[in-house]
Amino acid sequence: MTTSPAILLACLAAAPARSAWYDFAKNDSAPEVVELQVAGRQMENLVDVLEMFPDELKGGKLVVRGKASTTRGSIGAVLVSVDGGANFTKAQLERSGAFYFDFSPTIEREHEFQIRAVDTTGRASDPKAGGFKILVLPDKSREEALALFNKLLELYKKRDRAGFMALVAEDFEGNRASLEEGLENDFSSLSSIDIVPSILRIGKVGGVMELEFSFVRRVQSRTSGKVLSDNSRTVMGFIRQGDELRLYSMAAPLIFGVAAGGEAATSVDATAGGDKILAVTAEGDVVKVDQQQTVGATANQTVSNIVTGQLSIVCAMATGDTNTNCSSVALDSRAATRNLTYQQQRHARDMNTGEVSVTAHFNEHPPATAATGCVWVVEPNSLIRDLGVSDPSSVKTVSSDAADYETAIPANGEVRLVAGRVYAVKTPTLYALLKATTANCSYTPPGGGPDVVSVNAVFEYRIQLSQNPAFY
Amino acid sequence: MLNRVPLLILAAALASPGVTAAQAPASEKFLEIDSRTTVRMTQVSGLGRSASFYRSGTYAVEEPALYFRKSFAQDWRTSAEFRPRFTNDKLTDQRGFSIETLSMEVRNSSRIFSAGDYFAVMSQYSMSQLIKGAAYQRNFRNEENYLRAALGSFDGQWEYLYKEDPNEPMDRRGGGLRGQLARDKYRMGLNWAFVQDDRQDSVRQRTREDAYYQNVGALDWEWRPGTLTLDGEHAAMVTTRAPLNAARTKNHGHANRIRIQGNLLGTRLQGSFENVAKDFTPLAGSASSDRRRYNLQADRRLTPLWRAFAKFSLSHDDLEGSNLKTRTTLTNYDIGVTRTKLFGRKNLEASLAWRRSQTDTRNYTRDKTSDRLQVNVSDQLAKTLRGSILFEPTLDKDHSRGTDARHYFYEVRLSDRRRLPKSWSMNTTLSGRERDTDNLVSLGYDRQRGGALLLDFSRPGGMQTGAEYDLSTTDLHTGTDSRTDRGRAFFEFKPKVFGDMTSGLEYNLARYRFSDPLRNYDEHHVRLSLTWKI
Repeated sequence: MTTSPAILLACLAAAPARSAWYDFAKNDSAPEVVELQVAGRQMENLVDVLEMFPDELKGGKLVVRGKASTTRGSIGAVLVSVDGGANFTKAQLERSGAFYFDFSPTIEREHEFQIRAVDTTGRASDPKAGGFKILVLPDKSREEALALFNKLLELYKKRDRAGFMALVAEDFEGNRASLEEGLENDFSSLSSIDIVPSILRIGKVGGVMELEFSFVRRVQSRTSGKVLSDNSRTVMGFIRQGDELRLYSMAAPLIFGVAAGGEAATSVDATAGGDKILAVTAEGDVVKVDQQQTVGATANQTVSNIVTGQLSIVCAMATGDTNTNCSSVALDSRAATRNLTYQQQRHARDMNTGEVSVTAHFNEHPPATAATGCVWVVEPNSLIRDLGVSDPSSVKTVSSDAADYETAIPANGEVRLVAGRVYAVKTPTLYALLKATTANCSYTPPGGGPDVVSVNAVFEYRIQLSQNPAFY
Repeated sequence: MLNRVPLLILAAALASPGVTAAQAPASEKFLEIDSRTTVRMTQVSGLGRSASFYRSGTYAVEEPALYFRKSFAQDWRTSAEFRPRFTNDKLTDQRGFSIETLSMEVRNSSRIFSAGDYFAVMSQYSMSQLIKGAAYQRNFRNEENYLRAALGSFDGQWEYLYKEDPNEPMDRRGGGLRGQLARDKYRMGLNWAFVQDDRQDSVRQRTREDAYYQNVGALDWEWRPGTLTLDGEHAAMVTTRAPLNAARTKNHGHANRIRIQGNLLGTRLQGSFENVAKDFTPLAGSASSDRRRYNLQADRRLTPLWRAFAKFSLSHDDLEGSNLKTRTTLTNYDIGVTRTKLFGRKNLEASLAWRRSQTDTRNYTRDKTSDRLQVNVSDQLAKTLRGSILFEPTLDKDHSRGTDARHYFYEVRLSDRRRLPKSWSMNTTLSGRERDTDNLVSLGYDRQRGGALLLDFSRPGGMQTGAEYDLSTTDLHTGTDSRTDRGRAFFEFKPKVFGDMTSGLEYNLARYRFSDPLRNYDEHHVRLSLTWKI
């Protein structure tokens, strides 16, 4: 499949180039200007009067680049006029015919360009054939950036995806296709969108007009009906495409294309650290997560999806019991050996991605004569580490290095969890924090009655579904 | 007291021009004042009004600004800007008063001294940050060749500099150096930036956040051979992380990006490559860490009537290929054609585009392919009337769950733009859309429908008036349906009272309706705005 774009591009490149209106002098014998770029704009995008703004000039100068060619001899000179042919100035010329010309235009004055290519046999192109005018308008980029931002906001609130994408630059710094899909998912997931921005600054950074703003936002989840709100600050960048400003970049936290996450955002606004931000999950639900606040921040983690909750295993079963409320696995008693097994598993999250299970094992042969307690298996093939703290919310990150985890775990994965301690769990696909708030498991041997196993365990968990070891 | 704030602000806004106008000398205008005043009166009603974003009441925001400019001693100029904000609207600003901008600059053709709010711009990866501090720039030859230095605090608010705020993050400061050399065909910049958290910040903040110290070096360049432009940046970073009660750790990261754009053999090309390591996490610059991106797009006018384009992009995270993570790879293919003057009609344009988006996760916990077809037709239906139709069927295939989902999107748009007597012009836009989303849980389609009508009258001189109505409904196969009506009427004009003044009045109505009537509520807003400049 990856070969198809290459084939396509090759076909496009191989297609015959037809003469366009900007191709000067058409007869075979005369020289002609075959490529032309004015202030970075290709000639095919030029109109009769090319309007531009001071930020498109290089140090106040308008730069014209191009290439002239001829069928006989070589190009000897390229002359440029900025006053409709009254005066011509020599452009810098290379042997290949490539030329360069710059001049300082006057703001709000129309300059009429003509270009004449002369070859070494003395023939010249018709300068009027490809003439064009340029007009440098006063810099109103700040006002334009603000107007464009308000327009984007309006279109987003109205769920007008096509209108919105028309205002996104072709060379959008993030993934343009992902932004479009992110908008689509936002509009599908959010039944009501309200955003109140407050502009903090508008300024030029290189060729990009940046707008930084704080915002208050309220949305309603279409699937759950929940109304959630957040507030933070972020930055957007706009560049000029043709005569108009277009959306060029967005930093996280995003207010547009929230579902696209790191594919649409190309940076993280460091000042937004610590804020609770709305995010759209892959399932289309809206959740609030912590915006990354430290150096570990990456844009793709802004949709970090931390799931919190509790799982409990509470059960008391006697020999021969089949308690469906407790487990589908019955306590098994074999009279000859009194081999008792008990197993009850609970999943922290029941979905295809990201789950942690805890299994209470009681497997004694022969059974102990007094309460011995259960052993626990925390998600097979996982690693576990006692973090030595009692408050899961105090843990910001866990180690991603396997060497930092316990090495004394037996092959069957059984560990003894101490109630009140927080454990870091690393599975092949995720990181989790697990705290056994209660972890009681006891065995009562038959004293004239049946064998009884009682389990009363409650686990508090935090699962990071975004495959990173950060929990903020 | 709060209820009197809007009136006081409005009174101050109206009263102040007379005072300041007298200060401006007739010969040289060195003081410029502008002001933006907004008063919003809001009424929220209905049983479900607690779900509203707004609270009933009158709120005002006043943002005056003072600009000072003065020339002195040959070619030296100085300028200053002060922009505070007063408000009782917590949606706009939690503080009643804040200083938005405070800056000054002294410059001539070769030297620039700046202080206060300053955009410290070195390069994308190294530093692009608003600081409160000082900067110096020395130009050589012209403004394209220079040496720049900046140093300051990253505090978002001026008040964070002198008082402790519960919402304030740990104090952070930084600075950088940039030297740029530019000639006709190339430009090159060398950058160094550093960021340092304040170890002496209060203990409360230190228990909440780790401290960081970072150094970044970067080289950025641009080369313009013929009609092509190539540019790039290469950066390396060292970051030290200092938790409160744990040992310091040091990370090294690097980032590279290269881009090419221009015209090659009549085909407009654009390509880019970017690789940002997991540990390249700039605190003052910007980058999307742990990500590699490729992008290539081309478009070409095949004939005067036909145009074709193709795009390919691929990106993935988890650059180190860690087994502890699931690498997610996103691939997009776009291909399309546009035909103008279809059926001999001068303005009839049709485009057909296909997009395939693939999302693959290494262990196939998610593996989706989405194919979207987009058909867009637009035409000039009458002298002033344009119309367009958009149709998008999408097929999502989730391989890991073995499910397919079909979604459809339709949109029709009509717009009319005509001139009326006495220099008035009228714009009318009518649009309708429907989005049908296959719900794999309820095994039915969730439908969202919307329609909008905009009527806008304007005339030269800044007078504008009109009305807008927008309706959107959500019809879930199972679940609570909802309907939102939004209406807006507005009037804006430029009274010739003094200076450059714009006044506006706007009325907004939003009605939220649900299948559960206990959740219904209405929002009414009347917004009065006044901006002026002298």
